[in-house]
Amino acid sequence: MRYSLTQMLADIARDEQNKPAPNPATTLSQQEIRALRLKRRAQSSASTQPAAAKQEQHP
Amino acid sequence: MSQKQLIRTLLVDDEAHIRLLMKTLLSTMGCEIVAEAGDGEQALVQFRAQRPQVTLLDINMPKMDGVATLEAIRAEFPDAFVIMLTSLTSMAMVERCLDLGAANYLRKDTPLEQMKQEIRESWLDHLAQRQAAGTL
Repeated sequence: MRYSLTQMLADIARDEQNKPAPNPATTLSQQEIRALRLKRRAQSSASTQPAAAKQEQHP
Repeated sequence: MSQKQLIRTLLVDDEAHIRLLMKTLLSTMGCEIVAEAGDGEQALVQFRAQRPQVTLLDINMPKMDGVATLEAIRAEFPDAFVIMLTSLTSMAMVERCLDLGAANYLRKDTPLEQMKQEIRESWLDHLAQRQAAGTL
């Protein structure tokens, strides 16, 4: 049977998804990474907004 | 990723099959792979030569790892849009890369549809930030 590119890519993706996580206690899931990233972004924009607002008041 | 013009993309991973997988995925998102690299040193050379709009960067690589590569790229090109794509997912590593300016951090075992969504969202966010800063 012919092994197609689509099949190969599906196999690669499945292999990656089936690899055991090194240690679930010390690693972050994609959802946790996303939450961390969004939290940091929110903190960063909150810390820059007051400064920007101040600049607008006193050009 | 919804624009008509293709988005110039650099793929960096020492595993050729991962590059093939990502190349196929990104080609469905309006990206054009302008260069590939199998280690950090090559990645830096390719980045300087091609100035890609998007870079997907592995961490565990020979010669120069992805963290050092990210640091070098962002030091030279502060606006560089770099997404880490790796199997290393410790809190310390994720935080280190975000501190160095990575736009996102993707686990290699993330389902492809979710990966596309994360890449697209980060890219649109990047464009919005640049527009707000007047650098677009």
